[in-house]
Amino acid sequence: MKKICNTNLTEALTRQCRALPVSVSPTMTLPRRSVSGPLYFRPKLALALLALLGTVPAFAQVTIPIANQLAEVELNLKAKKPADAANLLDEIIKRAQAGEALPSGLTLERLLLTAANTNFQSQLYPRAAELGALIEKLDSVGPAALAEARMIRGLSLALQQKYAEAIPIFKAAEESITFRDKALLYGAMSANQAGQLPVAIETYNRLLATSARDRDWADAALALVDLHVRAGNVADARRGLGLLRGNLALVDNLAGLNILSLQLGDALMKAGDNAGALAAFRTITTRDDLISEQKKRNAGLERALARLQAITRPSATDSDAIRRLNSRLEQAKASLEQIEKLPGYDATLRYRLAYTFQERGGAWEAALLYEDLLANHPESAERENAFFGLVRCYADTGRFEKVRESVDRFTRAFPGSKFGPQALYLAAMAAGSRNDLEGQLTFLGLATDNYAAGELTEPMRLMRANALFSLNRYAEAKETVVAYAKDFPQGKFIEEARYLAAMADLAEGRSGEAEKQIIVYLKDFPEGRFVPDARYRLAATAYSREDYKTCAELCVKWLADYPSEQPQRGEIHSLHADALAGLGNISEAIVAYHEALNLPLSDEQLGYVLDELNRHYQARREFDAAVAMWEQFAAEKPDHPFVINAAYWISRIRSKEGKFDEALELVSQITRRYVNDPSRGDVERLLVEMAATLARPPRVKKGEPKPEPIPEETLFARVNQLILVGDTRNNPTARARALFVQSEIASLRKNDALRDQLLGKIASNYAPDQLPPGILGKVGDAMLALGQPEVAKKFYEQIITAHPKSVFADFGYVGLGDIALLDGNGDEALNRYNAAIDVAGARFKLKEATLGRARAFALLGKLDSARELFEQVAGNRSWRGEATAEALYNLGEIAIRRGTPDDLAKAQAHYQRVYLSYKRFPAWVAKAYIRSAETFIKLGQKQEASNTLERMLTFRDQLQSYPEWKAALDLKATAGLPAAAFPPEPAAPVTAAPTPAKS
Amino acid sequence: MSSPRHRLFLSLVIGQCALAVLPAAFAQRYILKDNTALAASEVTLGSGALVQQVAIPGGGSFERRYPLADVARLEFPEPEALDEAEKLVAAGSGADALKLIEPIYRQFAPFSKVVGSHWPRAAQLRLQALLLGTDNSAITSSARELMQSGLGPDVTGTAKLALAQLDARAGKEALANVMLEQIVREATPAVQARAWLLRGDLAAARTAHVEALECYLRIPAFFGTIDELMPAALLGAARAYQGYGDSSRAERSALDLIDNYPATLQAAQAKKEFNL
Repeated sequence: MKKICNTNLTEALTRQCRALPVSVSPTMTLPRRSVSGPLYFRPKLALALLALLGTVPAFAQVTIPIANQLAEVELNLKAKKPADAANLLDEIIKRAQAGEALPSGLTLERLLLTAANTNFQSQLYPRAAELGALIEKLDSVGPAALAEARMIRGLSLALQQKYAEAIPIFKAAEESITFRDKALLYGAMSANQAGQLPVAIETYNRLLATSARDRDWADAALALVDLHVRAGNVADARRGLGLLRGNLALVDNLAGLNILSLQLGDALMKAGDNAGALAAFRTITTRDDLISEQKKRNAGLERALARLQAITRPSATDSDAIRRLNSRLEQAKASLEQIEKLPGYDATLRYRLAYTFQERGGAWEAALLYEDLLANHPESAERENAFFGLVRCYADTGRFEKVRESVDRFTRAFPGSKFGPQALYLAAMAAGSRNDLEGQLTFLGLATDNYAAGELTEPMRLMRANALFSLNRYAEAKETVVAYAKDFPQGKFIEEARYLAAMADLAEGRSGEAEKQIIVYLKDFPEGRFVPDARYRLAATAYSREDYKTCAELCVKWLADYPSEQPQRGEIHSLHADALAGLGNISEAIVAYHEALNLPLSDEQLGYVLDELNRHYQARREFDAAVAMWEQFAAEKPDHPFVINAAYWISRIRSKEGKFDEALELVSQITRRYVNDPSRGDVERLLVEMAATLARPPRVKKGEPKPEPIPEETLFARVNQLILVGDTRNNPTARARALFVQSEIASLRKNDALRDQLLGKIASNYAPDQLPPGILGKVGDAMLALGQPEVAKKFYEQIITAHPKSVFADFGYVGLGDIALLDGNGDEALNRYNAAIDVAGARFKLKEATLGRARAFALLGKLDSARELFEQVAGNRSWRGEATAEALYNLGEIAIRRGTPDDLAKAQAHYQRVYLSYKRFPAWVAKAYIRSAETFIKLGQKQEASNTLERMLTFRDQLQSYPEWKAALDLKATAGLPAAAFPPEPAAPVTAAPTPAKS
Repeated sequence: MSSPRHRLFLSLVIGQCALAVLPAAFAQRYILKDNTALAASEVTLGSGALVQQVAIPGGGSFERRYPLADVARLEFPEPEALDEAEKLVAAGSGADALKLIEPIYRQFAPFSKVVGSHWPRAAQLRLQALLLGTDNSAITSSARELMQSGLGPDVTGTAKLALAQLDARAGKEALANVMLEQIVREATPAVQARAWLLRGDLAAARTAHVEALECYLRIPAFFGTIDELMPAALLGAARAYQGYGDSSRAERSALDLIDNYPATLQAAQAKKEFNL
């Protein structure tokens, strides 16, 4: 059996390859009993010979007449004694060659052909080949006999394993239309056996180009693919397999086809064509399915064979079909046997699939396959590799929790695996590339804890130091690099370690210490990687100790020493400008900032320089210069995110100058560039500015009466004029944005009903995918507040699916959390609020997310967690307002649930704080009053309860609409309370005046 | 000029071709348990039996009845309409597909379990076509009919899947999941793959992107030979990647779909959704 797979991708792969079966076309199967249809010793010929017998004259007694010998030949053939017949035919040939006349009608050519065929049937191949050659040399030979003779000779040679000699004979036999296909087939098979793969391939190609698409075609195609695989013609093999896959019904040897696919996949994988390998592996069926299907096909072949074998007098075609069916069945059975002997077939297939998926970026698919392999093939030799792959897949897809869990499983299964540290190193790198530095540290820690030091120890220690530094854990970073420098004084990363130690000191504020280290670094590594940065840092330390002169000098020197393309040049100009500004030389500083602006800067540096220039221009009241700067920036970098800043500042500056129309015109020009695009979420900043400018009350002119506010309709028309121009006029996103500006104007004018109406209009007129994230959040909140959670949900979901990275993403998570809470689903609500903080960063909704988490914990009965969060809300001064009232009330509720007199007193204090300090939130005040009265009753303090209720009932206007009003009346009537004595109000807890926090 | 021998060979080939064509085009036969072959054109379908009118020499005729239970095998060519209907179902045209399927479904209904009957394929296609519409009661009864047909795990799996799909549509996701869990454990690979696709859709509707991805991607990972489900799986995966925040994988999945299955509805949708 040939073994084709010799890939050395990994040890495991190789091991498995060696165990795989391999060739589909085993040793050449040539016909052994007859050549083929027309070559078979035909009854027709026998009949002709018999007919001849009657016509031949009798010979002398001593010599048996040839006619009689021919009759005996026929008898021997009928008696299935072809060897005897062959001997007799040889005698007749000798007599004919000696000059004796043959019976009339029988030519020497026909005699020789019959003899050749009979010798071939008797497996006397040398003689058959000899007779074939004799026929070919006859001057009078006809084309049909010549073709038959060539086939007999070719096959006889091949069956003597003289394949190379047989090849040209079959090639010559191709001339015959009758034998062309068979000559091609046997010629290809002979070339294959002779090791002449190119000849074999070329011959099969010629055969397949013209032969009909039948089962023979499929056999030949399989053989050709096998040759292509062995010859390394992977592209041709791939095309061939694709063709066979498209004609699966014709393929009887499915097992062989699968094996070939596996071999082709391996060959492609070895050649680095993972996409091709994947395509090959994906077509392979699992072992059980394959065995079951192959058995069905084998049974079908056996049935067909039995039908043919049952024919009493098979025709030459039948006999040939029997032979071919037999051969096909043998091959299919052999392939099936190979598959059955391989218990690891599925695991091998899974591993190969997973590996190729992974190599071409399909880490998710690969993880599924590795998990399946690990779960269902516990004895597989690929397990260790599969674990390694699995960890890499989870790391690659950013599922770091899964990385931790799979590392844990890997370590337990293979405690000493050499792949363990590699997997963790790769996981750490992946975590770092996703800025999950804590995750990176975890993986590095796991590597240190679980595996002995190795070749990755050095890079892992430096990676750890970098991660700590990036996490602002400078002291630990320094400690790590100092230890590294001690352990590896000549280490590969010693320069990085030394520089990082200096930077850690600098970041910790020990600039003197840092400066010393930088100077030593510059001395030890004059050509080092970090020299330009080190010199910049030295200048920066001078600036930090307000030595602007030294700083400026160092900057000038730096700029003189490094070429214009040095990437830090812009940063140095900026620092130089800062130093000049520090020295009071603002004009030169402005020039230096402009120098910086002309060079590549990071967005952070660019923003800094623009803001500094803006600040200096405004301080010098050079408003036109500031506006010109922003306008130039917007013109030169029209797609830069800071263009929005430009528009904002232009608008602010012009408004400050009282040039409202100019401000609006400028801001609307820039707004219109992006207003059609819902993914540009920063446009809303401009829209809010536009609304603020428009909603501003008209200026009062000296001596004139206060002008009437401009009607909203007029302002709204102006909004449309500013935003909906040209191609934005009919754009749904732009139209929704115009409505949003109008709603903001309504909001600024305290017309909440109109605001909600306009937001409602956006909700009903525009699909969520037409809206930017900022508007989605506002509309969602409005719909939720109007009691339409199902409508709100669509907008919130759109934020987190279409704009997950938006600064407004927390609107989506918090909104969905609120809806989950309304549905009584505490777990989901908690997940959503957590995501608002952990995933979206809660830039706008931290208060709501924190309060939401507290409510969710309370709903889930986790009172300690809820209390902690309610206390956090109540204690946050910047959140003071309704959230505080709610938090205090709930703290009271939590205390009451404990029920001890001490807790009841605490609850009472919370309730009192609500109704005394947060009167602006009557819903909470009403609740707090009634609970306070009830608590007094529980405490047995009926007079205080009566007083509390009576005090509550004095706020008829504020509280009458709440259900607690009626509850208070009922309690007063039924609790048997004494008459109220109206003592002075209890002293209010010391709190700042309540101010509703803006969300 | 070909020799007489060649002429003989050619005529033989032509004869064989003619014989090969004839059965496919015309042979519509009922084969009884005693190997009697009845040409479909000579019998009609009566109540519980095939009815043959036998002419009496000299005039008149009588009816010979062959009980349906005696039919062992059908020799009817595969109706082309079913292939056409399959394409229509894939293209989402349920109503048009049903028009082609119904006559075949009814014709073979009395022989639903007989070897060579085209009823199982017609009935399964019919169910898939119905699922493209909103007639839930027709879907339910079609699925139940298949479940009770005893035609093997593939057919039963298809029916269970349809019922799960109905549950999902009705918002009974938990119920649907119970059924799907059973299918992915027990059904044939083709049905399992479709069950994973439906699970992916359910997870996607909940915006559970990781779960959706793990369901959709099972199709290319474990059922790579079932090409017809690949477009839906790739589109689902592309959307789930997008939801998960991995836009580069989302785009790659969409491109895979557009490159490899360009003529599908899903490819057109992907082009639109991902601006490709």
